[in-house]
Amino acid sequence: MYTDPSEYYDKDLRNLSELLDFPNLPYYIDDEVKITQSKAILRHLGRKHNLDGSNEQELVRMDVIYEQVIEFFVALLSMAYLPDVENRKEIHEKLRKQFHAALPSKLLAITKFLGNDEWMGGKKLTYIDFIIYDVLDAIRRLFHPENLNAFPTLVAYVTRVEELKGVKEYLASDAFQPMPIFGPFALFGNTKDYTPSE
Amino acid sequence: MKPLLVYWDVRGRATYLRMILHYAGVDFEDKRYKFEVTESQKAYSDYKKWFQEDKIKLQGILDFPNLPYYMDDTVRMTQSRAILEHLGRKHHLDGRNEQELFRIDMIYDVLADIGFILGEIAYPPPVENRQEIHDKTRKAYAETLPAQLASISKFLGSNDWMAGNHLTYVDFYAYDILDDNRKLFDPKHINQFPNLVAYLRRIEELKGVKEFLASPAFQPMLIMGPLALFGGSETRVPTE
Repeated sequence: MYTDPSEYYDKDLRNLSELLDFPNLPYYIDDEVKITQSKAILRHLGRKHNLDGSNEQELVRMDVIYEQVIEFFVALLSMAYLPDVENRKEIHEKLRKQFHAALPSKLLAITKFLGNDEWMGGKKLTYIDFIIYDVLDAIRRLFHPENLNAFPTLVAYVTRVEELKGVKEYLASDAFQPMPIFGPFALFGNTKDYTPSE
Repeated sequence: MKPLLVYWDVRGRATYLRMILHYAGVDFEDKRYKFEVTESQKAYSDYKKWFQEDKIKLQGILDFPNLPYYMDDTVRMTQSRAILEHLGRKHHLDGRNEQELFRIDMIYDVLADIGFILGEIAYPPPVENRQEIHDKTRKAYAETLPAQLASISKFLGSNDWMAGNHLTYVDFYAYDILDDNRKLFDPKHINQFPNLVAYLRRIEELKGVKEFLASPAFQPMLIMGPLALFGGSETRVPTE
């Protein structure tokens, strides 16, 4: 894990340019592959470890929910790192409040999508569940947890992922730092003890 | 049922879906919601019909009603990437081995990052100084363009297609994003990379694609909607 940006940018990036087509973080290297781009890494691991969809219906469900949920995360990223103009804080407040106002209907749609299934693909745990967990968890840290708690099905889903063997131990370890979500110069979610405004 | 693809009447997130369907020789309905910009510069007409009527009617039919959406005998879905991948699997235009699969995924995300930024530049937040924000972000992006194109060019290398030896769904997406860049920015940037120029031409020559790109349905310059700060008009001269 990189804790100091200069370690990556000043030292390693040059060497990584030899190894990787698109040097970036995260990157993943094993005996067979050298990959960047988090979805590419996730899918490779999904195929390798039997955590991929097993039929067209599951694959479609996985892709649709991924894109939908990632759109939320990208909106959050966007409002965290606005262009450097004088009124960026004001713009951030506006966007964050708008996002929060739309949150119940977004979470409701995800709840309906999940329905009675245990996992987002359907009956089988797939790699998609790990990233959906991550975004839902980010939402309950960037906004008051009660926003997510209003949807017991989603709370149960998130708990289900947290209880998975291997995942449980990781989340309890020092290696998992739930906060900060964004870097130190972001407009929110940028400190260990960040407190949501809404 | 005849497969149905529905989107706005612009390139946006539908061009690569239209291209793959035309390449696969699918007889589909290419339904579009039109923009009509009034004197007060507010787009209306089909815009209202989508947001106030049809989108609401689709609740219960689509999990997340949105444009584009696609329906055929087996699926009813949204999200352009999900649709593209479904069509890729359906029409034998997916990666065939692990190497092709992760090459597709890597380049897709690289291209998607570019597509996302272009959207952000085109549609800054609705504040008074949005033109200032647009100019700033457009210029900042233009400075990164040569390096981004260089790494995509290097990734393609001497392959015919992004995955390697086989045409796959990602090539239609790559065409659209790269072509967006040579329309929104000076084509001189992409012309520095002969393999990318040849790659685009190779896609333009594909049977089915060639006819579509030559037709009025393509609308090469209408990349974004009419209210975008760039990419929304037929006549635009790039400034960078």
